[in-house]
Amino acid sequence: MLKPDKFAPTLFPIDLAAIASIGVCSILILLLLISGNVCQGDRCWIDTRPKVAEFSWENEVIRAADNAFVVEFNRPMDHQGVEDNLKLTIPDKPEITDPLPGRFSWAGRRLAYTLNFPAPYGDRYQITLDNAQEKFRGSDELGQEMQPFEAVFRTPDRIFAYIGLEREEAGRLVLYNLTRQRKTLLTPPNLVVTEFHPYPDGQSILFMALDGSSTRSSVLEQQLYRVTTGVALAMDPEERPATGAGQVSLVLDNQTHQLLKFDLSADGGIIVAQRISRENPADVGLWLLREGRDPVALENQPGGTFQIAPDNALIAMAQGEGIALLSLKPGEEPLDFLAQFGMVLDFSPNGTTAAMVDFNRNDPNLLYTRSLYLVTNQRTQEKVFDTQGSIVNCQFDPKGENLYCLLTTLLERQEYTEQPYIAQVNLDTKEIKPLTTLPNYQDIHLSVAPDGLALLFDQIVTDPEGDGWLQTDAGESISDSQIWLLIPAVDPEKPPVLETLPFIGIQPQWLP
Amino acid sequence: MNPLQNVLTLSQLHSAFTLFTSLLVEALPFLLLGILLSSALLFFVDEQQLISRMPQNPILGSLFGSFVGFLFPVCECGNVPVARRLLTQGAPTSVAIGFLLAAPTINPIVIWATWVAFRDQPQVVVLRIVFCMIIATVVGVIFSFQKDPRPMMQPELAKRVLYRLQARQAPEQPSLLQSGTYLLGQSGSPLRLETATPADFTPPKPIKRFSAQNFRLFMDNMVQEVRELGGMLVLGSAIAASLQVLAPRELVVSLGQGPISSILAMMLLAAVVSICSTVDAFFVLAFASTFTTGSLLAFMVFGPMVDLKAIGLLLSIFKPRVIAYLFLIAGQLTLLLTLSYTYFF
Repeated sequence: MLKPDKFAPTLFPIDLAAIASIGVCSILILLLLISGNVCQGDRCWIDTRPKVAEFSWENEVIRAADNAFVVEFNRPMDHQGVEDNLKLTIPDKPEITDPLPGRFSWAGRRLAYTLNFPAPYGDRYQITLDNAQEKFRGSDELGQEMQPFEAVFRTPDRIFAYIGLEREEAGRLVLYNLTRQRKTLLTPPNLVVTEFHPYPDGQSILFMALDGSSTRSSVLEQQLYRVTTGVALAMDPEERPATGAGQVSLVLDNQTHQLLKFDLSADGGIIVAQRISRENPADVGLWLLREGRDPVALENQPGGTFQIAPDNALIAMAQGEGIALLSLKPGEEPLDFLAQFGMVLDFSPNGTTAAMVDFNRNDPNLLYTRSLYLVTNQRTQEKVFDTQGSIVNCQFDPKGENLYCLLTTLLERQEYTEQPYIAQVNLDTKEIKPLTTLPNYQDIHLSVAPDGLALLFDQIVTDPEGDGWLQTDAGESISDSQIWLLIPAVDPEKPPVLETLPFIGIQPQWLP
Repeated sequence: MNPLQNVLTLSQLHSAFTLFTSLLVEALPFLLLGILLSSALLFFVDEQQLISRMPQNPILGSLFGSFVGFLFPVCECGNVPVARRLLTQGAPTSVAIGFLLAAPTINPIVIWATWVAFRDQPQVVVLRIVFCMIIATVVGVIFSFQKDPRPMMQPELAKRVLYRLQARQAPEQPSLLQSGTYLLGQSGSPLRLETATPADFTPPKPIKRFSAQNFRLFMDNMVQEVRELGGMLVLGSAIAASLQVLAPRELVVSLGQGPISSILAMMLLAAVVSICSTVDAFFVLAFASTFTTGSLLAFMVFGPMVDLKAIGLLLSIFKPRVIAYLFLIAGQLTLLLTLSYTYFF
């Protein structure tokens, strides 16, 4: 029989194996510790200095909606040192010293930098960081200096689209890259585009068009299509994307219903179309389209113009003498009805506020006066201004701090004449600053650039005798139209820059 | 002693008791679950058949042991009875060690909890699993050099293994030539009283069927293990609680003032706080913003393998020298892996 004490004094295989392993591990740990200090010049065996573990915008194309980046370090850092040494530059424009002002905030090893305004489009930016040191919690001393960090990101080119009017451009969707001065015809000659909305990634455009070569000659014969823009999403703006420009696909046909109007949600995931049944012309309503699914009727009451709210939670639609807030679920009762307002102009970029017009029909003291209100999703209302003229259109700037409005003033003449003008409305001070007056009033389309630095609008000329496909809301044929670029001055004392662009077209619209 | 000191001591005693009870409350259900599983293993599974199918290769054995945690989602207290059972039943050492080290981490509950806590850093979840597997496998291979586990074990426990191994190693020796006290079982072959476990007193064939007698034996085994291991858990928890009062967490944390010292501090903290692996990810999340990812990993990899509370339980299996090897090698490997991560990634 074995005796228990036989095990005690002798060395067993486990002792030898364990002691050998402990020895090997000790040597490896020692090597790891030493190699950080064995250096020849700048190069050490192992670089043990703290470093940037992740930069959220590295080699990314960032848009106006991207308002903050995150830098994550692999060790706790000295916050002040990092803030002092972080530099943002535009390598191609070294004369601009601080192109992206913003503010720092920290959460442990993570630094978030929030831009004061969206990064201007069409530029390549560089971030560099060195000389900052690590600093552990509870320690007053600074540790190792970090490894130098450098990364680049860019904003998309400044690109806009319009519906051409002249020669081979007539009725076709035209894309113009203002940064690279390059024009592309997107749609085929047989389609006459009447309205379009770009997708949020700028990769494609949703448009409504009628077939000019078709025997059915009615504006109501339009269908919904999608076309690719061929805009590069890679860091190299010249790199061709997988899908080239001008690939058209049908999104919604007009077999059973005719198409009247449509809207695309801010995230590009939902399309809402206003359709009229061919069999029953009294059946007019909104239809919901999601990618890869059949259209679903929302079964709402008929109405006029409509917009999908940026949060995809509701549709604001003019109904009767008010604004109905409709659910996106088929057959549901309207969520709310704002009887006071007659028109929704725009939603703020964060989706919390809408600019609405009150025609003051119920107030005899304010007859013929229109009021612009800001209505929040908490149903609070704030009046911005009253005007004797018209409020044709208003659009929020990307920060939601200003509204760019197309307004009119009533001229003191015998006949009723309105003078249109574009104004910048500061939503904080409620100050209205006219930017430019316009000669023509009809159907002006206003588009604020995604970075908020420029505006596009058109000035159309109509021909009451003409019989072209492209018509104004009043049904007059459009014979000519100039596209204008308006750049509000950064310095409030200086006048804005206004220039005509050498394009004949309508509905100019910036790509997001 | 002045009155203020008196108050301080009383409050320290109070917090030590609170910590002690919270550790017990946290660990006891898992210990019971582990004992339940090990007893179930004894009575409802044909252990010898199970063990004979376990891989004998050290690496495969360690990996097999590590993955068994998926079947037994136990905390670092529950794995001890199961590992003990595996060792006494003659399972390969690599399997038992692999299970002992990896089972508290490589199981669905812990992986899920780590994922919930570190959803925004998925690499932490993956690395926790990978590092734990590496350490469990390496230590399992090292321990597999010792083919006969008895010299590593406490003499009392080794005795239980002794006869079983002997019987397996020398089947050709007629049982009549072996000395000892024998019982004549129903099968006709004599049963040696020294090797007998309560299970051996039940008929071999209908043993896997549920019966009142069987259940009583199952309960007897559970009571025996609860008495042996429960006492050890109480002792371990008392040590862990006292140490936390004498050396508060803040003190341990404040030791971490560099990439290496922060790893060491978190390993020390993991051993001292003895928090269960199912919730340790949430505990360490509080340090996520001020400590390096490497040191957080060190806490989550080393903690489930080594903690003060489990020392008592481990002492019921291994000799102190062997526990020291286990802790030292696991600690060195944790430092090596997490420091490499801090430097290279």
